[in-house]
Amino acid sequence: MSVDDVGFLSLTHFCDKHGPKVLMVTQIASDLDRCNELLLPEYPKDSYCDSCLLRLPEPKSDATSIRSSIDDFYSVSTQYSSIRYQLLSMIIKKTFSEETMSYDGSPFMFCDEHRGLNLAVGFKLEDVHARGNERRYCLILSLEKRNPCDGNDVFKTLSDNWQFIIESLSKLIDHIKIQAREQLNRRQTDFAQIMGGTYLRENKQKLPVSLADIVNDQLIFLRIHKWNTFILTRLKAVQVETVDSDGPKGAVKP
Amino acid sequence: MLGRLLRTSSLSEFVPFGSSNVTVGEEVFQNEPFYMTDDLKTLLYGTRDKALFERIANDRLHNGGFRLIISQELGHVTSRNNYQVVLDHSSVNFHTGAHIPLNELKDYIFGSSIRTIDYSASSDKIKVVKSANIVLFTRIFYLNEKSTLRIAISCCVTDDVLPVLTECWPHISSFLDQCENTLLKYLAKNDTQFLPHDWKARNCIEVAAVLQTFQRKIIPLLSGYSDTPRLFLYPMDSIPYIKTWVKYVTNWIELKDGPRVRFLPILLAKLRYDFASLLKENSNTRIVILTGNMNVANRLIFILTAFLGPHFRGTLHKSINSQGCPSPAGRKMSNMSGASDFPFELKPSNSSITETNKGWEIPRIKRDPTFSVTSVSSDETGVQTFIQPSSLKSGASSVQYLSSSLNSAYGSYGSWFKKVAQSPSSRSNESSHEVPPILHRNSSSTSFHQQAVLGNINGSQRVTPQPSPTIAEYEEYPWFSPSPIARDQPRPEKRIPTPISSYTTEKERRTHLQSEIYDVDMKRTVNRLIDEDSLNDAFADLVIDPPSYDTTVSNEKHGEIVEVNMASPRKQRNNQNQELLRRFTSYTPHYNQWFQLQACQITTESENKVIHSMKRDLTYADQDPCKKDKSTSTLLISLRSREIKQVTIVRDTNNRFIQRTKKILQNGKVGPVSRAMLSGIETTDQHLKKLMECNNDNEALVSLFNDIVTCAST
Repeated sequence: MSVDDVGFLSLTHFCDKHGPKVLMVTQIASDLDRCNELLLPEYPKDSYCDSCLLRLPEPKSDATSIRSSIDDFYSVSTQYSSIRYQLLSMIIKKTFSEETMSYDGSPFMFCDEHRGLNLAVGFKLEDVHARGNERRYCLILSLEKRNPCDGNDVFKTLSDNWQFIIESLSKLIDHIKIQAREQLNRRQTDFAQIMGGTYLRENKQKLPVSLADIVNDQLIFLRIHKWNTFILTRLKAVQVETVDSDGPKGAVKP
Repeated sequence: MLGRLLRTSSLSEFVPFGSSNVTVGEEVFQNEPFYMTDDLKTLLYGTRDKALFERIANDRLHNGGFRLIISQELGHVTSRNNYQVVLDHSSVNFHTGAHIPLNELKDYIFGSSIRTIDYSASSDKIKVVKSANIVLFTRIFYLNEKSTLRIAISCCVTDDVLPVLTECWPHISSFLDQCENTLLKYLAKNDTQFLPHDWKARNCIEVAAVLQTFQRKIIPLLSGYSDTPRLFLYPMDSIPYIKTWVKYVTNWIELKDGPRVRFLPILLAKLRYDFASLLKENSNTRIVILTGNMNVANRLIFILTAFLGPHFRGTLHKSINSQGCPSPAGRKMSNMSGASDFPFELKPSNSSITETNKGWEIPRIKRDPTFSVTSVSSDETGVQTFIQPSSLKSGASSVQYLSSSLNSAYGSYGSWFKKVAQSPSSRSNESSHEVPPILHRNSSSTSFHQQAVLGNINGSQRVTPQPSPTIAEYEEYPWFSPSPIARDQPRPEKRIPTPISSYTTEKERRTHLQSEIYDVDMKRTVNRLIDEDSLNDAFADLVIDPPSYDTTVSNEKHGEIVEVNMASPRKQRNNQNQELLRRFTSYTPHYNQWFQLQACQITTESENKVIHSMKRDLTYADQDPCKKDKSTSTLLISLRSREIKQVTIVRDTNNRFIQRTKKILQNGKVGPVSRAMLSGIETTDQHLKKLMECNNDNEALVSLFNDIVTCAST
């Protein structure tokens, strides 16, 4: 099977101003041609607010794509998906707006003929500049529904790797939350002194803040790209292996 | 009222196969606690972690509890009552950590009212509600293409089932299809868009049908998948595994089969040349061992693991509690039962297959005191005279009979067993790890079953609730108690050397013990392997370490690219193990139709149950257009009658079931099998003999083992 069929992983965000937005989507490609399709051309970044923008470390902040090449395939992370744009907008709209999402790290799955099978894990980060003092994010693993008769049903992919997927997503979320907490602790001392805290106060200043600033790590998107690539690579490896898994080798009739 | 309806309703559309007298729906599967020695747990499950086994016994949160909610959208977007619940049924045994208000559930089921209508024919949702420890799964559908109003069938179950929910979702999905159709039919019949708000109270047959689908199909399916621990398959190149395997095979052939019966070679040949591949290809294929004795069955299952797959690859996790310092509680247990599980030195040097002139007569020789550790001389004579009924003296008495009769009357031996348990000999057994192997002998006829009883006395554990085997059964397995006959008239030409010669030094012995399989303690759950360490390593490597990157300048096709270096995960990929374990298990008191390999208690009904589940498989396969195979096979192994048969059921053109039974072994004789299979049996027999003779050379052992379980040499 082709590696393009493994699925894709996205980090999404509910922006105070713009609603559901994709921050970064990681897809993998089996060859260079396919990889070139995934890479984004130069696009204006002005339309993105700080909290929606995939911010890359200086001085490469003009770059449009993150790429890693592993063995015989490529992994590409971009702000949006050029080939799955509409699908991804449908998925994030459903996740953030149409469903009642919990941002407590518990998994939520939905599956239909248009969106395929999606596993969303939501989390929130404390931020005084956001509505309700918190920013909401979701990691979404999307598996496009294929013909189940070909033996690679999407539910099988999910069930074969359930523990791995859940554990690895929650590891990333924990990491981000810990970083954000540390940064908040550093900042809150100054902030609390000036403002006297925000408890029961209306927060009129809804400033967009990048995830990179919340966790105080300009490389955070590169790290997430690497981890997403790792997860997708593993799913691909397991899928390939299921086809030729071992067992009693050569158990044929004499 | 509804209950009565449920009991009496005859729902023709839900009867899986016509007018047969089969019970409707699934066999409600129940797990019951049963006793298993720690070493056997390690052999079969790769861990002796109590949590894995106790969960089955005590902590089953759900016990098949569920809450079913059927609701509909009324189309009054601005109204508070836009979503109407027409049925809210909780089973009596549904207990969750916290109560969830219906309004909250409605939010989860229908989501926000701000939505785009997408007209997907139907969609499924699985939502974990952390605060209440439940999983809510929902099917949402529309009355027809024109309708914009949604109808939802939702079910709350405990979040214990979450890891298996995705695994059995294809099945659940087809059951939800059934429920959806029932509701749509009801709406069409009454020519309405809405279900009545008091639908449950109306006692409709449709309510009962939907409820029944949940009660008798979906919930048993979930608990059948989730509660039974699954076998761990050791790496095929692991020397300790192969050695333990050889030990078990040797013991089976010597003590259980004896020189005349060829049960094991025939079974193994059948698996190797024919059935193992079927089992791998088709999830409808099963091996069911019918037995009255779980210990024997579990040992046979361990032998069969060599023919299953996929096996684990990579390093085995060793338990922290090494052999030298087991926990005090576990120690007693493993000594009472595990004394006989002690690896590689169980057979005395003069062990052999012996045929006496008078069959397997119980000898009346005095035991050699140097060999006899368990010397209960006064009791022994008493027992011997007591347990040898006159009927047994006529010709067919055997050591199996001896132990069977002992076993069947164990209840009356309370004082005797206590005495054994307290006797100095059993204490010397406790220190058996330190004594030279030659002394490690259990020369009484104390069988496994009795040892379980002993364990019971000491550890106040529950013994398998089983009827004592009758005398006609060859069930009892005098595993490691070398039969006294063996020493009576040893036949040198049939002598099989000790697998491991005595260790010259204590150090050598310790090194050997370190490599044994009983040390293993895999990290796992009931149905999955957990590889936390490698995930932690990968995380530290990929996320914690700062990434190194480079840039590729932009061109007309793409913008600037940040090239992030990633180490090749090839190494990791090669060691990749399948996380989800296959549905193989050991002895379970009740037949679980969702498992491909299992042993269960033999009853008059057990064979019928298996056949019914096979027919059910075919009925489900009919509903699934993707499944092309229209046949299902089961290898039924009856340990009581030493019978192996393959039952195959197919559907003919008129959609009737045709059952074919192929006897592989019956009355001690090979059934009508192909010539190729006969030669296969011979080859397996030869290989097994060679393997049992092979002792010290690891390489030869591995290659012989591979010859038996794979087809390399034929």
